[in-house]
Amino acid sequence: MLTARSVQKSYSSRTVLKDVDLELSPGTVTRLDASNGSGKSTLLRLLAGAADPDSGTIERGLGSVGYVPDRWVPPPGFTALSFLRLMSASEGRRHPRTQTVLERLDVKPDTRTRLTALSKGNAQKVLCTHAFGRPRGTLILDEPTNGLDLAAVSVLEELIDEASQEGTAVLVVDHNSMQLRPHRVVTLRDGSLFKVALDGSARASVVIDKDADVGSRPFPFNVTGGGVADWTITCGEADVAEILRLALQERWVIRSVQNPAGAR
Amino acid sequence: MIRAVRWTFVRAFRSHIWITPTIVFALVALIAYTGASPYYRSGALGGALALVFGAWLTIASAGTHPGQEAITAAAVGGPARLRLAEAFSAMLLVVAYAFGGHLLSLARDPLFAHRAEPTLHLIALSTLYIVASGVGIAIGLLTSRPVLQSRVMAFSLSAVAVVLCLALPVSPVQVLISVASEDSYQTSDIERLATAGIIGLGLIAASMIVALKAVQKRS
Repeated sequence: MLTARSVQKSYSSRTVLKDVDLELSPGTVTRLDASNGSGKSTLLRLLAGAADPDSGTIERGLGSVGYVPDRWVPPPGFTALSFLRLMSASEGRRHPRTQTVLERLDVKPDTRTRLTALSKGNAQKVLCTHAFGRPRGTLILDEPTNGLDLAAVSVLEELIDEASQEGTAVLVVDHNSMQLRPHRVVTLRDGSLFKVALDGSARASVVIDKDADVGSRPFPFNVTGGGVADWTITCGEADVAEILRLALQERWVIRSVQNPAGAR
Repeated sequence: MIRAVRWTFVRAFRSHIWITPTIVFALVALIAYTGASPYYRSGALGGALALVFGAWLTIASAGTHPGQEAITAAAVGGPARLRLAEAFSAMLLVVAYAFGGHLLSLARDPLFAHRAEPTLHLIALSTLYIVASGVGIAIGLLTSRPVLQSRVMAFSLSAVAVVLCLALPVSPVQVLISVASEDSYQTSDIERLATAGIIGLGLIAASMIVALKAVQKRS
């Protein structure tokens, strides 16, 4: 379980995150959607403990937090195994699945090849092994498929599914390179988070019309059906208010909201 | 904290990030400690070296591998703790260097056997090395990543700060160097030693707090 409450972060005069609340429950996969430069990597760094918020709290519980940053320059002088061993020791936890994950990602670490001599994809596999080899807890994955081949992406999808089924809370940023089935999607926009549950229990739906004046501005949630100007979002009942607020703020027109009983 | 210090040492050893400062220190120490100066002058010179190399090692270990710092910070409990561990590791190394160099001068200088106050001299040198390396490390923390992104800027500002610490007569490092350079101690020297030591440690603590707050803010 990882809980963030009223988290704020700014750099110089630019506020990147405003009052962000987020809860990652055990056994759930959450996908974070956002445009480039919107602060999603900052949010993930904060959640992983790689940076500190200006205000607000982040509780990480007792489980381990595995983190794959969006870019990584491997430190020279380390082989894959020596790196993974030292990271495990630095964290003070055994990483019991390291060998299994290395094998599944088809990494054949030898005792001589340095991380800096590996291809980008193989170095990324080592980084993913660092995250997935640990005991279950929380996984924060920032574009983990960077540089991976299709086979490795497929293995990564399996690893995420398995981790989730075994009780790990997963938060992943992915630009559609994986066939993930997230339980919910959170969208970061203008420093604030909006959440949509996608857990299969369709409890409410919001149908919106696109205002002609809005132009090509994208709606920040994944939407289905309806062609260009008519979108339906199926979401958790608790998320309706947030979706409505954002849609109205963006000058979209709400045509109907359907509640769990089916009434409009 | 111990795990973070261990990470710092292993990484520095494997990645060779401290190798250049170490070689330069060894060369300078070899010339300075084995020169014609009496051992107590050489020992005091070690304070100036500790100041310079404290700043250098701290800048060298900062933000050299994007992404890796983030992973390590997440593993050891945050960016401030990681930076503090790097600073502490640098301090251990610099103090060890300084005393190692001083042993060279003791080995060749028979005057030490006749020194009236060897314990006091040792206290003066220890205070000098700890304060000088601490000030150097604080300067390094305040001028390097993530507080300042440019490495050129880090080295330039550190050089100015180091020169000021060595040149200003009121600087605790300068006072401690002058006390440690004495061949025998008066009561006033002991008072200067204690005062400069306390002020120096206070300055280090204050600078560290400011630097680590800045690390938290900018990481």
